[in-house]
Amino acid sequence: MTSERLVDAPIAIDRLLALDAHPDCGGLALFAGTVRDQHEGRSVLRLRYTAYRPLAERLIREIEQAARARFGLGYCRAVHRLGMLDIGEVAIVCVARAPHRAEAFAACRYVVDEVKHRVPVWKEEFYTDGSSAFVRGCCIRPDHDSHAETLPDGAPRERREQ
Amino acid sequence: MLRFELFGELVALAKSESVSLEPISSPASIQDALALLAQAQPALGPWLDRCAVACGDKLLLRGDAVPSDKPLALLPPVTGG
Repeated sequence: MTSERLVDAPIAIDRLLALDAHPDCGGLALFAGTVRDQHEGRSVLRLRYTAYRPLAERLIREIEQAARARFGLGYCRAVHRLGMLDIGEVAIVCVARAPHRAEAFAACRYVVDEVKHRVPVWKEEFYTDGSSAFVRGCCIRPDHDSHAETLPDGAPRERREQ
Repeated sequence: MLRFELFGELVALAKSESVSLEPISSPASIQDALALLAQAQPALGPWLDRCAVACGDKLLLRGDAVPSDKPLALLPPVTGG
């Protein structure tokens, strides 16, 4: 089973399920986020994900650990794909195993939300018209006053948050 | 030598994946280091307030001391998932 939380090759989902362990867990929730072909009205051809690996690896492991404690999971694993991805490819996978389904579902949502908001990964979209742009996201500066901020172009932060 | 590694859209703004500076004196804090970076790379200036700074796997605060002989990673707002 892979121990990396950031991978450059397609994510091997079946190896993340840990079906040969955790017999006390009757609920297994799996979330897979895939690349869609449009964003805010623009036709997307492909995406490129990049990351700052040292911090991203540590934070994903911390998020998994927090989810295990918060939802009483027997197992939790999240993996994010990096590199150039075509439409339909899997970008992120989360597996949560718990004694019952409710905790497993809730944990999957928690983990994916935390990864999207806290982990240093960046998404660059390439459009069918030949242009490209980075998707605007969440500031992870720990001592930042998020209530007073504006974007570099002067727009309020909320307008372009994803 | 003060070295910044750039990520996300910062790479296109600076037209480079890293910026190295040779300040006359070592900056005392991360905030001081960022002020030097803004002078050297004006295109990055408007973005710095929303950028986190990391060294290795640790996030740093603006008041933290600049680590010696280690690059600083400049992290713009994130968009994983």
